[in-house]
Amino acid sequence: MMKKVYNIILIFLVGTLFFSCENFLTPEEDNRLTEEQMLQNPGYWEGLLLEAYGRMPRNYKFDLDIAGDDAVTNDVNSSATRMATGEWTSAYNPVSQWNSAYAGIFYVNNFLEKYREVTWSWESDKVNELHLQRLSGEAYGLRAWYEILLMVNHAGAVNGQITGLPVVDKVLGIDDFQVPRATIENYLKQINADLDSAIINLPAYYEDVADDADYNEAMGTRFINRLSGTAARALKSRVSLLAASPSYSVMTWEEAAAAAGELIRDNGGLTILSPTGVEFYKDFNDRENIWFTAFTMSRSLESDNFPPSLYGKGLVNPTQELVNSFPMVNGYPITDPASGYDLDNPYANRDPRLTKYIVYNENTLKGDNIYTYVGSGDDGINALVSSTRSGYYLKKFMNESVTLTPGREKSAQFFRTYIRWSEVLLNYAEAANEAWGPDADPNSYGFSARDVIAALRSRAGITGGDAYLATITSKDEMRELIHNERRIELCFENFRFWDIRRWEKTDVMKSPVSAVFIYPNAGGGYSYDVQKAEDRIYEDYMIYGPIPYNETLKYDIPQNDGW
Amino acid sequence: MKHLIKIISFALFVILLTGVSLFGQKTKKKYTISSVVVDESGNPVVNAYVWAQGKMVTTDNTGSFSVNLVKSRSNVILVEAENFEPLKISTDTFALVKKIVLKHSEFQAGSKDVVNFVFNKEKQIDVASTITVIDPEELLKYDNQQRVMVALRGRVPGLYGTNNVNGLGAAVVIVDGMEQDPGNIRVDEVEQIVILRDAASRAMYGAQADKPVILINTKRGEAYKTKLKIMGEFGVSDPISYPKFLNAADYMTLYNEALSNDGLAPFYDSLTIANTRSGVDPVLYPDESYYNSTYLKDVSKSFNIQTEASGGNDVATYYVNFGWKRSGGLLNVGEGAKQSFNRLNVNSNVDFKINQYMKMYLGGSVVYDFNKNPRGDFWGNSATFHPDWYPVLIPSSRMEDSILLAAARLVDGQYLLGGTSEYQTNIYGDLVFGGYNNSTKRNLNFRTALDFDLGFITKGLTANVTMLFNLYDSFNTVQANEYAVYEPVTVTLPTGVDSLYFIKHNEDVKQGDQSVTSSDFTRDMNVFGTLNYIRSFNNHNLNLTALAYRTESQVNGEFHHDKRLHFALQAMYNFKGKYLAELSGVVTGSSKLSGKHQYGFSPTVALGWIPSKEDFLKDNSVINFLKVNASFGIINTDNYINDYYLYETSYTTGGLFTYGNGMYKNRRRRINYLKNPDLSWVKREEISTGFQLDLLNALWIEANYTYSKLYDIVVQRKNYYPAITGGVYQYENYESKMNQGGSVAINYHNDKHDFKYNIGVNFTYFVPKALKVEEPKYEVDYRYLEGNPTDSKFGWVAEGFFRDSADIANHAIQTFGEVQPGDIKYKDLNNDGIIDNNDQKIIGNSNARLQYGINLNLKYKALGLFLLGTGQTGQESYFKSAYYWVYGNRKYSEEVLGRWTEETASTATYPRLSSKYNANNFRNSTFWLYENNWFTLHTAQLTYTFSDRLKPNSILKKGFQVYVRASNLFTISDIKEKRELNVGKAPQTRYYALGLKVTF
Repeated sequence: MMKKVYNIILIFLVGTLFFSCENFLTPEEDNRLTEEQMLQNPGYWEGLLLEAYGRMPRNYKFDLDIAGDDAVTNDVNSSATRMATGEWTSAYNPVSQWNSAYAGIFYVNNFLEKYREVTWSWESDKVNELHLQRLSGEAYGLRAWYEILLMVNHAGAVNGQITGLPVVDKVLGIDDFQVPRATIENYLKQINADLDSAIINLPAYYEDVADDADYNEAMGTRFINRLSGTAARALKSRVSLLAASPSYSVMTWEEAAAAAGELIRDNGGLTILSPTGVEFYKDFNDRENIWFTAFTMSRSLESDNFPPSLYGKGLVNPTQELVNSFPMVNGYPITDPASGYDLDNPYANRDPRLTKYIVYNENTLKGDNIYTYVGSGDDGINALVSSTRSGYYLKKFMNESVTLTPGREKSAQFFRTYIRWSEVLLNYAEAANEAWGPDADPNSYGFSARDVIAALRSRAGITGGDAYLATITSKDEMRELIHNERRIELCFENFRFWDIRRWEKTDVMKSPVSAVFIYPNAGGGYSYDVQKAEDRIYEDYMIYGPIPYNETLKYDIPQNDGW
Repeated sequence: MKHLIKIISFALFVILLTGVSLFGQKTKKKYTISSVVVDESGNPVVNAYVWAQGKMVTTDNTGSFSVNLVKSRSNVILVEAENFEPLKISTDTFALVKKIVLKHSEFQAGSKDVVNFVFNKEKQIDVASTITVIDPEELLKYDNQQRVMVALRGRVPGLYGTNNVNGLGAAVVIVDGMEQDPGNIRVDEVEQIVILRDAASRAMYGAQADKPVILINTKRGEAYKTKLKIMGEFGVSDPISYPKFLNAADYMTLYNEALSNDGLAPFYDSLTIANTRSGVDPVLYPDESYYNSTYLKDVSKSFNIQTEASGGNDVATYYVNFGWKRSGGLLNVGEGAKQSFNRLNVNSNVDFKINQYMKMYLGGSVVYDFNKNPRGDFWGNSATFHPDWYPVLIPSSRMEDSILLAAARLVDGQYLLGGTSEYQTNIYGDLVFGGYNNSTKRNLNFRTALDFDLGFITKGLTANVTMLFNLYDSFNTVQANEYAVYEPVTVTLPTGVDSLYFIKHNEDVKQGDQSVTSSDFTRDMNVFGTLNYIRSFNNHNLNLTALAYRTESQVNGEFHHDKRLHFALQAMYNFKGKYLAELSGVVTGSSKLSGKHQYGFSPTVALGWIPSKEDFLKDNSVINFLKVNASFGIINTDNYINDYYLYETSYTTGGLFTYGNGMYKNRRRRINYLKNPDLSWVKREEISTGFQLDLLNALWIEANYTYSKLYDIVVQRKNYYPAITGGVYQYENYESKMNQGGSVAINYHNDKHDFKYNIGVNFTYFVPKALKVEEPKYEVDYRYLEGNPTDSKFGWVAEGFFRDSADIANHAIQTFGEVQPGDIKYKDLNNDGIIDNNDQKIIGNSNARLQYGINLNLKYKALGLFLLGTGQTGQESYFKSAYYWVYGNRKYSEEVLGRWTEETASTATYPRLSSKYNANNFRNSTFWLYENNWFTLHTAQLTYTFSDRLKPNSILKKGFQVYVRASNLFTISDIKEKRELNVGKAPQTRYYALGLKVTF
């Protein structure tokens, strides 16, 4: 009897503890998703496309300015500074876009692979079709965005022959990844084909129309901040200008001028220029903004760049060279004897954009005068770790309603602009001047290169009818003016670094950048001492970026010359 | 959670009371018994312990004893003596036996030599696999190290540091059958420590056994031995060294030099430097240092008090231990001065017989830590805050603004806290006004087991079911206050006089409430059941075990519970005690694998031979003992599979993407990794062989060789698939590596005279090698890890400093930024005229190859001296923290004094200074690499052990020990100063202690 009892107890105990082990080892359902679940829910599958969107920059990074001739930084660990002072190699490339851009393309391709299997709308086939149309346009356009980014950063000469990059237009399997570099022509063909798909499928603007709820649901106002047809056309003008530039020369200037010119013409000619567009970053409703992110509440940009007296880190410090490129308010460059430039009062009577974009000594920020002279206190040059290294702080993009004072921090609306009209206008001016000279308009767009430049400068606040512009007659003079105008208007928008490269201005690329040391005079006023701030150590071949070193080891993908 | 802790605490209390009350009854009728204790040859056994009814007497020179007993209580006495097997005997039989005969313990086969493998037990001599057994009771006679793992250091052949066996990494520490933090256990509580040194001995621990396993078995009560032990230790920790930073004036001078080297204008003018140096006005020209008596005490103090009680009888036994340990900190200011670390611990268990078939075990422990800390990071801040940033304390008399002064909160009624807009953290202010951070940790452990005697089915069959619970939680109680700091500013008035005023930054805010933050918990549950069958047939001795083992662990913030399950069969067999064999087969299940890969089978085998028991060696006068063994095993593990569902493509939810001017949102979806249905177990294959030899009963030699290979390691092949595939990969069984080496231990002892001594040394030498590595294709062969030690350090070969511009022009071009004279010159390994990543090669390794331990134990009568040291060679370290890599605006340490300048070019020990990042100098190279060879005397203890056995009424008859000990007494090393210096954290200390132990 006893034996039986204990046998039973034992078997019961051991048995219950250990059987049902199948279930024991099954892991819990965590919040990962299977492909099946992804395809059942349109919101989930769209998430793959949104991942491609989400990998675009959501804020401003100024690495390319710090590595170029427009800025230095007080961050001693800055990778951009290291790159600019001689460390740039294919193995050390802080501005590489390779991995992130191909990751973006990977998500677009994954989205495209099965997006037709997803039911986007249960209500009507028409809405479903419209969704499919828009989504395909967005996907192709985004792929082009990344392909252009790759071209700017990584396409270059191989054995003297300008060469494109691997075209990845589908999800690659784990056995078929050895995609060779396309010829530059084929690579451009791919970009243009993707952009054409986008332009055909996307509305020019996301706007609700009257009496068509179906259309509004799939193409209406709610899709603002997504890639639009106009944005895709603007991208086309961007890539055409790049391809026509001296460093590539695979398209003609006429083609580049047409890409921009037609877009401007179709949108009302020079009247598209927003009067407040110089400060486009202050209001996303400003029509200057073609493609931009939804706003968030933020103060990180200000925290990075406000001077230390406003509790910022003062990270980006514009150079004396950039400051010098701003003309006088009368339009004359400061080097011109007719400009009226006063060496003892260098910031007076300058192009108003200088006051808006750069904090110079005694310029205001948040209503305070900022003093950058030597010994002025926390904001003075080199005073603190977070003080300027150049004598200037960045003002462009700063939202002056942000407060960083400890205990009273206040954020404000922030958005990032991807494309704005001024770029398209400058693209046109540059291409048209190269193709036809300053004043010709053979395609009858209604505006010449000079007209565009005049409009931009007039909007900026150049006074007196811009007498200087009238003195420009030759294509070469106009080219220099356009280049300078592009530098000023688009400063800190990630253009300058690659602009001087596509123009093959290797001397500019290699020139040291300067800081200004300002000393108060005993009797009032200041004296100014411009000193070298930092070298720019680049080689001629660095007009193109490198293919990442590690990638060249994985399969036979040729490196650009010199790297 | 709190309720659970209360319930379990209450249960422990009941266990404690039950134990005490069982043995606490009183009666009066008395009688006396007496007898003689002799050995097998009839010689009297002197100083044998006779335990009876909670008393203890010892035998005299003739081996005889007598003791008074109480009639109605237990009539069993326990007789024990050193080197003899204990004997339990009933007083009723005394009339018959006349003499009590004790048997000598056989070598490695006595009752103390039974190794408790948790799932089964075996005499040490019959174990075929490779293990080391530590008896804490022996240790505590001369070494009162209380930290269990630290107590192993330098003692176990094959053990690197405190827990890395054979270089396989940190061991899984199994306390009473459950993986636990050994930090919660003290040596005094431990019965036995078993270090499992080969795959065969570890196999029963399933997938965990890929790593080394160390078993810690805690004490249980012993029947008829009633003991109360009280221990106390008082100690002081004496800091060895503090970082040495430059004073403000020297810093300013050298920082100007760094700027000038970079072609930049000086930052500090000469007047500022001169005024700072002369200390003319510390408010305007501060020069702050932190490692002085304003902030720090000379030593920190600690104490540790523990008591232990145990006893019982044939029906039930009990063990109780509780204690309090407290140590202070070094800070001397404000909340810092109150810093303390406290630990309360209670550990108790009872064993009792339910009936003739069943026994039950109940045990539990509570470890309760509560630490008081100031807010702020004194050690970190003091290593980064520059001496000239701001005056820490400003005499309030300097402030002329009476309104500001009236509102200010003063330190000690007379100082304002200094600061600037950029540096609003004041080191002193953090300590006095910043508030505090009290952390509490609770660890609760509950153990229960049922033992069944199934002899009624077949003789020798037993079964056991054990359940173990562990609960851990922690939380911080924080009072986070803010304080205002004042920035001194001077202005020159129109009158030409300098005037000083202050800008206030931040506000004085004292929080009314404490906030409880960062609560953390883990819950673990282990259950295992065993069937054991121990039987001897003629000369065949069999010990069979069947095991089912499951563990489940839940960690705060981890979605998945970590679950393991395995079933095992083990057979230990020997023939005549000469030929040994051990076979195990383990089926492991994993929740991280699926389909046909969900279960894996791990077989191991160990064989042993004891030639000293053979006829040809049996009576050899030199060789007393010789054992040789060898083992082989394959262990499946999922230790290196770091997540669940890795065999399926996984999509995860990302952040919100907002559009429609913020009106619409949807989630981003990411692809984490691609599917791989072939994903399978990682496997370890291990071969081990060795011998143990005892010569002349004095010289012990043991040696072991082990080869261990880990293969099918799961990785993503990021260096194989190009980035154009999207940077999303599958997990694959791909890499493999091995580890091979051996250990030797030699011990010599002589205890034939009053002066006894023991000297031991052990050496451990293992080399790891990467066999197959997921790494990039390199242009040069010497960059590959594959084929080289897994812990290789890659770096550049420094060739001194550039002398001048001609030197730079003649050298290969260095691509880490512009170089100038005084920068480090690197060797062009591939002779391509360019110094880049391809000029790195293996310049060292990060784990020591050879580790050795030396111990010396001297004893003269009651006085003993014990010394334990360990050392290592064959490891290289970079000194590359901010203290050594001083660039940009880092705080300048004394290291920079040897900097290169044109004048000191021939004697410089440090590259030229730079105010920038200077990637050329500050990168891994032989310049910063040091041979990390050292020998440290970890422990020195002088012990006086007194046992007044011959006076039966002496209160100290059960044992009395007083000792002084020192830890970390000295180090011998070329880089002693660097090794002994902590920067950014509390300093290393030498520890001196006085201790006392009394047993009643």
